[in-house]
Amino acid sequence: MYRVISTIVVIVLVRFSAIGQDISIHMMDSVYARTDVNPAFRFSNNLVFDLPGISAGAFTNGVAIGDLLIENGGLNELKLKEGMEDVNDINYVTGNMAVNIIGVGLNVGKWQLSTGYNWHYQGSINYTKDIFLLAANGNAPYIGETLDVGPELLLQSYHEVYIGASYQMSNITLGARIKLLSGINDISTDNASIKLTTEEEIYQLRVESDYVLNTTGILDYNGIKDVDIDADKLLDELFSNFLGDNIGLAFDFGLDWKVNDKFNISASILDLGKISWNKEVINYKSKGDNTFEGVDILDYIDDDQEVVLEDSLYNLLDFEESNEGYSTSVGARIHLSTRYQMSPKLTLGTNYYSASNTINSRYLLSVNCQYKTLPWLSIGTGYGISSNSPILIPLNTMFHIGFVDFYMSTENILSGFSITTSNVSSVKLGLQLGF
Amino acid sequence: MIIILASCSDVEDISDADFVSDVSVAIPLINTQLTLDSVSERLNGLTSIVIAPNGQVTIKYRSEVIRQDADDIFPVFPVIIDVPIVGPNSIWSLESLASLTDAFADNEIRKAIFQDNNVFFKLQHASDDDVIFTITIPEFTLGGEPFTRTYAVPPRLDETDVYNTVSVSLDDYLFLPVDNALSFIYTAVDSEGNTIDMTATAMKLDFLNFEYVEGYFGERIFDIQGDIIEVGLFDKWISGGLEFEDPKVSVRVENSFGFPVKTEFQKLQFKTINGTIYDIESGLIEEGVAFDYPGLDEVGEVKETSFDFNKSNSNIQQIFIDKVASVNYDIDALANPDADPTISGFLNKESYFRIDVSVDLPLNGIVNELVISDTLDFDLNEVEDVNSAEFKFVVRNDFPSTVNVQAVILNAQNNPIDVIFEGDGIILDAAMLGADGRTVNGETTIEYVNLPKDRINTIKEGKRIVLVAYIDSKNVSDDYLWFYSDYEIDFKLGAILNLEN
Repeated sequence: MYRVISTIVVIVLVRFSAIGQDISIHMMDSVYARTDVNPAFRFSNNLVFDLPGISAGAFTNGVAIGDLLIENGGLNELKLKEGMEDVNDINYVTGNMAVNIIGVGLNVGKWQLSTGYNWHYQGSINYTKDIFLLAANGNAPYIGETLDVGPELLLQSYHEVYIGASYQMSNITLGARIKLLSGINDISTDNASIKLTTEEEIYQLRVESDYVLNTTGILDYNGIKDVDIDADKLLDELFSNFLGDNIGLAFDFGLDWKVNDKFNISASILDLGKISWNKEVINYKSKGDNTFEGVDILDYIDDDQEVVLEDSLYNLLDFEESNEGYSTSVGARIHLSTRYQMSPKLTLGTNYYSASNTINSRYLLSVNCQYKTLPWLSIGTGYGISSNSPILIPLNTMFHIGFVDFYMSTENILSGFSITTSNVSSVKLGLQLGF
Repeated sequence: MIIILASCSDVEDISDADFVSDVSVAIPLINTQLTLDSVSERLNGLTSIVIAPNGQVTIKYRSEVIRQDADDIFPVFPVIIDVPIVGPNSIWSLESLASLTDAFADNEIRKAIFQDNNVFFKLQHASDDDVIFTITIPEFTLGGEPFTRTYAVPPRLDETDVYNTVSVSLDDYLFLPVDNALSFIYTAVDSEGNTIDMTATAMKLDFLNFEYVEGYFGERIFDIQGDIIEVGLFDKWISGGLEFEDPKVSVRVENSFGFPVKTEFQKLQFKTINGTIYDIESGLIEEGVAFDYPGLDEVGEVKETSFDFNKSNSNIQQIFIDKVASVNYDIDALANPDADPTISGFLNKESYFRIDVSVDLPLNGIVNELVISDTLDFDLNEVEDVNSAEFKFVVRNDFPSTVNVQAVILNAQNNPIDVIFEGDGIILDAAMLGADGRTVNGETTIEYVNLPKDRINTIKEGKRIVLVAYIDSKNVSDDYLWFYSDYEIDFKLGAILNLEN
């Protein structure tokens, strides 16, 4: 189990680092990507081609995996005990990545139209403090206690094709976007309760479980000691299953209110929708009480079979398989922001952003400033606080050369030099052509 | 870009890192409620535990069951002689069959039913014409009609020419001999009706095989053979005493032969763990024991006879004090021991003897400082990553005997390298007796065994483990004590393993 969890953590944290790159995107005036956080946002060109870009982020509210890293005799070692002080009652590790394959935007009078194709990955694991302590210390320190050791999981990738439109009515712009989703692969938990009790007498083990793990064929379960997650399928099948099975729909809605010439208030709610998973679905369900009280040696009287303790332990968590389709929400986001044009070069702003998926959520608050240092260069920074970090220093840079715009941003420059020891790590890179 | 590169470096550190764990795992290892009842459910083979309705326990050691069927005792045999038919009216005594097999010595068949027999006749005459030969055997009847056959015997070619008739099945023919003899009546005439003298006439049976035989079968001994019963109770004995109040050798006989039979013990010997051999002394040996048998009106029934050698009819109790390891017996069956030819018995194809001999040890005894030991192969080399361990024993003993258990680890040279328990070992105090002679629940003993790393390394050198148990009931009672089926040793073992990798 712990090998599986650690595998997922590594998948989440190492393969894809990031989310939350939306802390300052609202400040980047001419960028097409602003419509990702609010379909009512306008871009300045009449015609925009959003070229391939990437945004990725990773977040945890608990132990950052780099905190577990110690050097011992020149070798790097990962030691769970190093994270004992930072672990919370409930911990999450979340990573997501969006690859913007192509986007096209068109301004036609008061209308602004957009369409594009993206690919998304998101991975999350929620683990209790008990899981961490059990993995770090074993169960012996918790004899006589019941530990909550059911992790919540989400590993998901899907295609997204969207069409959006916004309409400017005097000082209010309304926008909406419809997204056709096509799921690639998914692993997600439904119920996630596993309670492990170690009795005092001779350490009898009791497991009460109510656990449902849904998957679309990327998890191969052959007993608790033989679980294989083919994480490569999340990426390798990037171009497979496009608009085939696992279809879903999602909607974005946004508003941008120009209070006066200098001050804007905007709000959006994004990704309202779900994906129905029906291809190669396997549901693993465990519900009930199982106890291992030790081997009854009477069962081996006059019998040559070998006593195998290990099997009895693994049978404590017994899964039944079924093949019932299921659905997962994409993960709703809310974005509230203000912008105040202090001068032609300086813009100030605020931002509230919350994001959730099926198993956890996160929010942040920030104040931002964006400064056009040169006609072709704009730099932004600010200060933020999030549910998993008391201090965020965002940084973004935009280059505008002719009809080419290149931008990159990070949510927290302080932690940028070590994503593995930071609770918040993100980066967003983009390139667009504007005419 | 700098940020990205720095981040990649971080990720490489994580990817290259070894996962180091240092955990303490608490697991249950053994949880057994050992009762004689539960053991009895799992025993197979020749040892069993018999539980009386009141819960008193008897260990039963058996040998293979001996069975002898009718064909073993009266085998089907080919009739190699011709039955001579001398003249038109002749009689042949069945006593002649005794020359064929001992099984028919002293026999007098009074009634029989043939099975799988065929008969034909060897005929010869001196006539140049066909001869019509008609023969009747009054003692062979089917549905009340005597056996009669007519044959056309062709002219003889020469003096050596004998005509063999076709075979006729005798199945289901009733055979009722008169005065233990068989009679033949025949006529032989030519085509003109003139009586012809037969120059040679004989009857030929292929086999002598009966579905049912009634008569007197003579005084004879059936060699039923014997066997050795292994008594494993003292296999692990080291010292001390175990005295049974009433050990027994039980014999149970099933018999569906319909004539008197009595036992004749050729041998009933007891071999002790020291190799001493004792012959049992008992009146049953000299006198024998008569088997019950079905009467003529009880054909097909099985009669059962049981008897045992016990402390009241033999010296078996004294023999068992010397710790018996095996019992060697050889039993014969003496048929018609009174040699009374007026007794009419029977046998049929389903008749059999079945003899089941067992050593019964009712667990009503005195355990006097008994020490038993067993040595088992032992290999902990596959146990890896265990830095140290603590084992927790939780044991309760409901038996009226104190039990001390010690375990000693031996190295390849059989030298002791570790003693698992401190002092005299783990002590399971005896449960005390209640007013009804049964024990009340015993006290629970909790014992910890700590194995630090250096001790584990020492034990890993072990190749064998010697388990020694000291058992004594004298501190509960000096009298014989019954062991009941629900007495329990509740044995639980858990471990805390400190693992490092």
